[in-house]
Amino acid sequence: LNESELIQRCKAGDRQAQKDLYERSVSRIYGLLLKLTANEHDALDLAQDTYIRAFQRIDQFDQNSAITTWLYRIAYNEALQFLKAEARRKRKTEMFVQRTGYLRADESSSTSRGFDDEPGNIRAEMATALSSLSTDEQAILLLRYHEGLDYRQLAEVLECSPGTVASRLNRARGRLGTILEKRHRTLEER
Amino acid sequence: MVSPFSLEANTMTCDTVKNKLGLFVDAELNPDECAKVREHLASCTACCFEVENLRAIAEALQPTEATVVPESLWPSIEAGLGAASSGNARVPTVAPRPRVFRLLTPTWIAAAAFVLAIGLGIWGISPSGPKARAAPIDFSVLLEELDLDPRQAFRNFLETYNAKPGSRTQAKRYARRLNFALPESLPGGFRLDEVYLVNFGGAPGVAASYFRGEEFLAAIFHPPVHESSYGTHEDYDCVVGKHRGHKVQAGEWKLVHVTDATTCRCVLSRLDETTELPPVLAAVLPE
Repeated sequence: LNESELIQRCKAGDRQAQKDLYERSVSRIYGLLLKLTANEHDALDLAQDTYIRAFQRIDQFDQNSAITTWLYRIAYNEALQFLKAEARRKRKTEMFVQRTGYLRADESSSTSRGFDDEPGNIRAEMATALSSLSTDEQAILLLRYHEGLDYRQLAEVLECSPGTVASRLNRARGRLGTILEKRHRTLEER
Repeated sequence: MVSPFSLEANTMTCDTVKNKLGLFVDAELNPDECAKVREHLASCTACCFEVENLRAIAEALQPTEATVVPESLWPSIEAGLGAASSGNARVPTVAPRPRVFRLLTPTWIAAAAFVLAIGLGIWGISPSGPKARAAPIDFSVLLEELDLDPRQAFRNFLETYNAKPGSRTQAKRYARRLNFALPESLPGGFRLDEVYLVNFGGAPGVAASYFRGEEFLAAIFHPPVHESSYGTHEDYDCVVGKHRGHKVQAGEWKLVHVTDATTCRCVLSRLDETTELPPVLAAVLPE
């Protein structure tokens, strides 16, 4: 089946077609969510929500873009909402710990982002630096370089113009470069 | 201002090329602009260096290995789609409740527990009150074989209550009326192993296993209801850190409960009640 036929069948509620579409796209969608959340459980939940939402709303997909781009947009929005809620929850936890002095376990995930973890490794440094960026900045960099989306596709996922994509990418890369440079300087000074 | 790296007139300078280097690396420039940037790069070390930096960032962000997608994902999506089309919960991660328990909602259970606590003065953490009134749960399944094989005893207990594996987020969503925390790690070096969504007779509950090396620890969360069964084991009041609760001892193992109006939190472990257990209990208590 070509993509157009597959989508028509998905719109008709064909479960096998939905599964085919899932199989064609899931490694990219789940991969992006795993990188953004750095947690397998959260990525799994978000991927589940992404596909359920996508199949429930597939009638709204106008086929002006690739279906994967449309799925990326849903996944990105799901991740954005989730990570904002997580940030709020973390702030509350920190306030609670400060107020009560409760000893609480570190809730940060043990799951790596899939980059190599050895110190001094550029990919390990990249993972650390990346996590210092805002969710928007992480998302645009991952969508461009990890997922390989071009500017037009990025514009569709992020719902902005290609010009805005270029400036947001420039800004994100600039911030990432600055963070990496600072880390290098700190290491050199030791 | 003309950069010291600028070329001749009508060609690109560092200032004009700077904002195009990202587009150049991303192959988003048209052929004319691309040629001009190349021409500039041919004689500008600073911009070449910048291009190399941008390429290094791009390469470091590229995937090195295929993502392994958990096999459980499609079945959960399919289940969610089925539920949505039939008008039920959006993402049912566990078996639907038996009809007989439909009225026994967590809200009802919490309200009933609250009324009982106020009316009868049986708040589980009251210093003078009797033991916490836990859900009608048969813990004897868990306690009887604990000394032989704690993991198997825990599995048997989960099986009795139709538990399904899930994630932390699913657990929070499933047992949304319970107040509990499920950290990835617990004080003392325990790491989260598995999370389960448990059906305590129609009331959602959650269980989790933790390990410190080979040492097993389980956390169980359920709504407080009427009574519990501990088989042949006795149930005692206890104080763990700043929490008053009750415990059942089975050989070296202790099942310690701390209950409030909405949630009974149970920790099964061999940890010392005065040193290691208090911070573990604090870690699974709500924020």
